[in-house]
Amino acid sequence: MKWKEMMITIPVCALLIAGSTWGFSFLYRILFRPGTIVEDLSASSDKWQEEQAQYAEELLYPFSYGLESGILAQAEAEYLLSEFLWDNTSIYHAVLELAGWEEDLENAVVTEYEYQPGAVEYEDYGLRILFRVALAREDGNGNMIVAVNQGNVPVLLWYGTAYGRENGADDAAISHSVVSPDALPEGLYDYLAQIDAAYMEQNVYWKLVRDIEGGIPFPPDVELPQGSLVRYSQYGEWQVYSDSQTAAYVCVINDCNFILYYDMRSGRFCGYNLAYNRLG
Amino acid sequence: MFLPSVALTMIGILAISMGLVIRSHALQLEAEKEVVLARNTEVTARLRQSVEARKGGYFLSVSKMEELLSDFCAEMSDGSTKVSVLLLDTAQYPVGMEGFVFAEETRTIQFHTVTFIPGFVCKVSVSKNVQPLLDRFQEDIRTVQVYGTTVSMIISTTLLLLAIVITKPIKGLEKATEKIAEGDYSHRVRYRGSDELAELARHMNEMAAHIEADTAYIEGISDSRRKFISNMTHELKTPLTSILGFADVLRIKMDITDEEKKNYADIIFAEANRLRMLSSRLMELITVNEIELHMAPVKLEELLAREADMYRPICVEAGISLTLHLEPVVVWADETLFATMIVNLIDNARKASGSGKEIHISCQKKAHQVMVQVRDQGIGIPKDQIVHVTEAFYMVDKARTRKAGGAGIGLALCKAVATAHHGELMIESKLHEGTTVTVTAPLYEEGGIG
Repeated sequence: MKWKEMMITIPVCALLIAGSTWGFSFLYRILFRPGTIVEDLSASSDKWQEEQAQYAEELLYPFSYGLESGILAQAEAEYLLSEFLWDNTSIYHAVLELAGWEEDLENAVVTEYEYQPGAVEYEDYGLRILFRVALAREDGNGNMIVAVNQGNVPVLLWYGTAYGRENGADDAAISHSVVSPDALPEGLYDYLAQIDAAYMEQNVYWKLVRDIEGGIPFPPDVELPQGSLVRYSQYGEWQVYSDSQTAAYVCVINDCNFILYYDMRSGRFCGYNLAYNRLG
Repeated sequence: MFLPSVALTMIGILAISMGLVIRSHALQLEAEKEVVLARNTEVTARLRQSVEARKGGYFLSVSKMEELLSDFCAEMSDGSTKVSVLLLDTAQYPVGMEGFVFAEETRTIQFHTVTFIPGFVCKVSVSKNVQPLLDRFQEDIRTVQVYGTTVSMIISTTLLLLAIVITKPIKGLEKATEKIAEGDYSHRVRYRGSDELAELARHMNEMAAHIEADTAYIEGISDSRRKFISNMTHELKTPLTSILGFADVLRIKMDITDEEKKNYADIIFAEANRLRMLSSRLMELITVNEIELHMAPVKLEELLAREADMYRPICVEAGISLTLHLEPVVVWADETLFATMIVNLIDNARKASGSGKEIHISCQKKAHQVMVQVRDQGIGIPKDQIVHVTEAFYMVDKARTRKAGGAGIGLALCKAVATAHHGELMIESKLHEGTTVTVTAPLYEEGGIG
């Protein structure tokens, strides 16, 4: 190789090396895109949707998921019912009146009676469904489902047009939303007032009220209002789960809650649940 | 070829390095994705636990939940990982909100997942800042650039040195080709080893040697021709000068006697005769290799005896004895041309011999050849001139040769005839002792020539 060629070759070679060095960085910026490597929106899990649907269904149709239970013989059931009545005559009458049953419970027959043996573990907790009793009048006009706690106090009532839909017969999807106080159904507070009145003398009710009261951040200089669900529910947040016929209005007051069931076709309330709250 | 080689090397290094670097960086990013995914899974599980531990059951108000999530996110976030949980409208199922996203602005890998916490649908997002990783990638690029440049320079330098080493012998060959092209056929290429270039150099040297030899041969022929023409011109000019000179004397000299006239005419006649003889010999010499030979079996002893008998009176008159020793052999020859050669040899021997000397002629069979020898006891030929006496017009003693009527063509013609018969003419001589001329020719045997 001649010197003249060398004088050309060496600079060109140096340019090639420099060019490849610069080209490497340039090509890297073009070829390596973190976004392309990272972006992946295919990872989708529908599990949460199933969980949400199951939860909403359980809440709206409280009897659709049967607890482990044992069916008692008719004689035993009627004996137990008479025991309930004997122990808590006033509350049962108040509850039946709330449901529109003015007759005595003697006219009712037990059609189904379930016992949840696992619930014994939680007997220290105040509100807890322990029994579920399905009643029917002898004339067959009207049915209701009552769930009672360990003190034989009815804590969940399901009656009227909602009866018979306890397994979630409506195929419509359950929707969930937060409801402003203005959008609550007419007569909700009247219905709550009837519940307040019916349970006025029940310990379980007052335990719930006190729990709610303890969770409300009243200013220190404000005198506490006289406790009732009507009063305290105004401090709560209302959420509604509904299908095309039935709605469950959930009142959440801090860590406590209760539920009112509403028949949207008739525009009447058709039950309540004071037991859904699991107080720790 | 050097620059394309370097360019190809650069492209190769670039492609391999790029592939390795991008693959490595992609794997590291994938690993970061796995970390983010694992973190998201952990955060989601912890979120459920936190909600249940806080309440031990169902339902939280939105404000409580937001408060809880705020505390939870603050607790779960750290320097490089940010956790955020967004409450979604439970009435609408979010679509396309789950998966990995790379946020260019914040340089974060984010993984979003939607989960159901009783009463709420939450979008759980875990963002991991990968700016340090991307900075490390840039450091990798710089490192690769430094190493790549170093390796490229080493390879380029090596290639350059190799190119110089490889092209050096080629340059030698190129120079040699130039020299040979300029006519210096004696130039040779120096080479070592036995590789292709050495082979090429060897072949080039062989070619140059052949060209040199051929050129020398052609130059020899050219010199010989030039000398031949020069000699021929000289030999022709000598008698012509005499002829012209004496003819001019006869033409212009007024008081010339009859005796002088006769004397001059004799000279002119003799010179013209010599000129005719010379032209005749020249014609024989020139055409001996071109005429078609009439080859046939010739009884050599008879031919030699006949020619000797023809010369015997002249030799006797000069006091030279002529002896023969002839074996009966048959030679495959053109009889006329072969006889011409024999006559020339005897005539040369006669001219070289003085009175009282002997000329001995012999023929014999030797192997598959016939060997004819004419030996005289004449003045001999100096050793250094023996090789030249077969050249045309070469005369050892010009004065004596011309006086004897010769022109230095006889032996050249004899050699040409011997060569035409696929034989050889060899001369052995010792000064003042004599000369022996030996001619070989193909022996004719029954069934063909020897």
